[in-house]
Amino acid sequence: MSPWLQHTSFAVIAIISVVASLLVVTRRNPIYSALFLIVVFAAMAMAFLLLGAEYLGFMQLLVYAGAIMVLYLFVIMLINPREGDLPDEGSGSDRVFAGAISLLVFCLLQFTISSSPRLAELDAVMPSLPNALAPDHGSPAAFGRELFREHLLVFELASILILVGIVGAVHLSLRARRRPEAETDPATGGGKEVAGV
Amino acid sequence: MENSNLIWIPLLPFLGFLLNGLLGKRLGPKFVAFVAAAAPIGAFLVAVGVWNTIRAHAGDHSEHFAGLTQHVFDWIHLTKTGAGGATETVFSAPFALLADGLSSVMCLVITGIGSLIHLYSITYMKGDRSFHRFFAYLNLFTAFMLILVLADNLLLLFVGWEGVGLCSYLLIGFWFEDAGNAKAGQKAFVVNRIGDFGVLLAMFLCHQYLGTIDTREVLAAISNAEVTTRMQGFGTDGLFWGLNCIDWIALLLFLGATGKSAQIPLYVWLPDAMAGPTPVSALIHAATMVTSGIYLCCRLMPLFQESHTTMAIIAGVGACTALVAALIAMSQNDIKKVLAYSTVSQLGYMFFAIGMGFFAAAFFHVVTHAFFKALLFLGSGSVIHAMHHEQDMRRMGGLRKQLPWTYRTYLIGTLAIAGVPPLAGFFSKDEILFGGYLQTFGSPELLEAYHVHHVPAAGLFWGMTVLTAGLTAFYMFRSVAMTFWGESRVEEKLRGHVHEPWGWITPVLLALTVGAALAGFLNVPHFLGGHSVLGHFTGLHHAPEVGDMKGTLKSMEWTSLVLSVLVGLLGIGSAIFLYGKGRPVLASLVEKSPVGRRLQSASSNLFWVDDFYLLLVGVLNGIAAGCQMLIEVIIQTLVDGTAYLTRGTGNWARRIQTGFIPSYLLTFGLGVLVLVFFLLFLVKDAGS
Amino acid sequence: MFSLSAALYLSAIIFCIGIYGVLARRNILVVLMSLELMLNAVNLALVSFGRVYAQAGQPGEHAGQIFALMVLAVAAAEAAIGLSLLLVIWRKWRTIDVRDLCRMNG
Repeated sequence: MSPWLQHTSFAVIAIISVVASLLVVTRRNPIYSALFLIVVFAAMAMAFLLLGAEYLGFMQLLVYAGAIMVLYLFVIMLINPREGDLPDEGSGSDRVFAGAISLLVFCLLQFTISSSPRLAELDAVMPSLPNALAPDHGSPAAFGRELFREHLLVFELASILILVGIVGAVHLSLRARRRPEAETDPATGGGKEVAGV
Repeated sequence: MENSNLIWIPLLPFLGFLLNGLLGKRLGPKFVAFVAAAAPIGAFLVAVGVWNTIRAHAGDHSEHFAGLTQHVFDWIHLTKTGAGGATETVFSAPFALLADGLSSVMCLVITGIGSLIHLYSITYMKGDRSFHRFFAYLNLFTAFMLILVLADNLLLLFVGWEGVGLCSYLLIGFWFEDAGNAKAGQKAFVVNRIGDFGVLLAMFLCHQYLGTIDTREVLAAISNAEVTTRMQGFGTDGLFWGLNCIDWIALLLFLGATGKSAQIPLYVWLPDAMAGPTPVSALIHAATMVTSGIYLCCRLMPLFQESHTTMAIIAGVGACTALVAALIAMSQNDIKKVLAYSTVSQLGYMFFAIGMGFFAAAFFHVVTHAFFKALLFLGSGSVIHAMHHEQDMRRMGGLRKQLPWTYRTYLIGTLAIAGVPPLAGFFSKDEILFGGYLQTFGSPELLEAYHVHHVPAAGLFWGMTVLTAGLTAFYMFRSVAMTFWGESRVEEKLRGHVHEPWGWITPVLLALTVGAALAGFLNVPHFLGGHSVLGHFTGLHHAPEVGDMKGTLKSMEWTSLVLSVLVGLLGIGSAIFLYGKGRPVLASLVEKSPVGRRLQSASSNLFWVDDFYLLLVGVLNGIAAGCQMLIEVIIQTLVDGTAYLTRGTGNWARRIQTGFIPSYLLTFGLGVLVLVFFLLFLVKDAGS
Repeated sequence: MFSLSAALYLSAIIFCIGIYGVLARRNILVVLMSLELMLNAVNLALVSFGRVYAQAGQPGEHAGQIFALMVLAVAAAEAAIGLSLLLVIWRKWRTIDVRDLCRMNG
């Protein structure tokens, strides 16, 4: 890919993600926030692809945009907040305060990035480096090879974590059963309670 | 010289104590009485045997005869293994007894008069609820007193010393259901304790500087050159007022003696001790316990003779005590209180004699005083008993018709204490007064001949004792007059019931009267034709080498004798004159003169000494309360303050737990900030 | 590829926007979403670094990406649990306002 294309693509991705994320945090209606968040995730996926992490980019879309956000939308639909349920958004002072803190953090991070000599070094050296990447860098096969060889333990722990998440989520969101003898089909998942939440 | 019978002297009364104490209640009063009387009588018989043995040996004047000893067992024996494996004794205090002239005579007095008093008590205490307990204590007291007297080292002596103090407390507060009696016992014990402190310190000094607490070794060590060099450092830097070690040992021992023998400043317990039963007063506070102070001084005579300062102090204290006590006795209306102050006064006499250097005279007075004071106390006990425990003389009078034998024996006792010849008191008192006379008017050569050191202000002290002699005669006859003469002032309903006591009382009184009459002949001085038997036997008296001063000496002796007799007769005469009709005439005379009134009030208020002590105790209590408050404040502040601080900090710090999610998030944010800041700027190489 | 600094700057911007969302918004849903935003920003940074180091020949070619995958997994679990809790809160107190959840105060 030519450098010009790379830079342009990156610029586009950057603008889209920044604007979309700004919209996420400012919308009153949570549905809008969710939708713009999906936009941000898509932009991120693009960025990953640009960076050569193909497998990860698609996982991002699948998991984040495809599962997590769907979950968010489900919950929003379940709650079905009316106009009255939506809270009055924060007073001016709150926003200023939050803005100040986030600005501060940004300043710090910016300072780190700009003053780090190693980073500058890398930047300078980068274009002239021979591309030591394997041709299938970032592909599912290569990713999987490394994952299951070098980082197996982490993988297992992550799967346990997800198991915990499942169990917890199920347990928390199920209503207490009122009729013990009525064996509800687990596929429908406590059908009686769903309606009206 | 070893003798294995010595232990029986204190052991028999001790066994009596055990038997009566443990089994007495169950076995009844007859058993108790038998055991209680048999014990001291048995001890007396053994003591007679011991005395006989000593007499036989003393006859040959052998220098090596130092008395009979008995090593009963090794009580405390600390050894140290020195270099080369040789064990050397660091400290040894065996339970060992020593009977020489001095202690054997004391034993005889204690067991003899003790037995008589035990017999008397059988009748006196009849019907008392705690009959067995009384005799158990009385026997125990006798045992301890004998240990005190027979001990051959200071520690064992101190065991006896404390033991008699304990028994005194137990017996004074015998009828403890009355709080006043219990308090009197407590007072006796506490005041005694102050004196004991002195004895303990003296013992420590002895061990430290003389290397021993065995009485004979102590006396030997005084003249030992090596020991004297060891003592050089003591008291030279002005810390101890320039007095050396011997001075201090003697002084501290005397402090102990003031406690036990009721001298200024520790005499205040004796008058209060009259709360106990009369036989107790007779035995403990007249004949035996109070004389232990004098015994101690006599036992360590060479030690005291070395310390001129202490001797002067002893003489002064003795004289003052004698006078003050006599003055107080003059205004007392309780018959036992008169006798109590009289005891204090007579003890003052004894210490005066010791201070002047005449130890033999003091000890002689101990013996005679034991007889006539016990007699007087028991006589008063008979009166009290007959009067159904009325003790105020103002409500007595004319009792000589109703209590003839009591009256006669009491009168003889009074004559003895007044110093009327040829009764016992005359001889001993005269010797004491002569000692003072010699110190005042005698030439230095004469004093040398008597091996006596001149005491400063001797004249003043002697004058005080002469005055006291007159006062003694006066107040004793006053008590006789108020009690026995004149018209009866007894309450109507009591009058018919007053009768002579029965049982052992009268025989004991008679026995003591014999003693009071004849004891004087134990130590007749040379110029009257005697040989000072007692003085020589006890080793306290050495015939003075007068040589060519014999004439001066003889005239001095006769002058002193006449003086003391005159003073006594003067006292008796004024008493008869003022109280002869049986009414307290003096009271009205005194009221007329302002000086007399002041003196009278001072006297009846006991010169406010007790009040002074109460004030002192109050001050100490106040200081203690103040300290307690201070500590409480400190502790309150510390403890409560810590708790307060913790609680306050907790209260303040828990405000961070708002439960408010946005605030938690804010805290997170701030935390992140701080963390990043920290990592960036405060940790090396983090930013690169 | 483009410079590492640029990627990092982007990541920082999105991260800070996420912070603002977490602190300023009262709607729990939006707060949770802002949280996801922040995690995403971090993912970007990780992958960028991973790419640079892989290209420079460091061992572990996919280290950054694997790390990012783990972050993904964690974010998923966290979202699930968070939303279940939100459901419970809704059922109990009928509110999705963050400030109403202040009963656990000390």
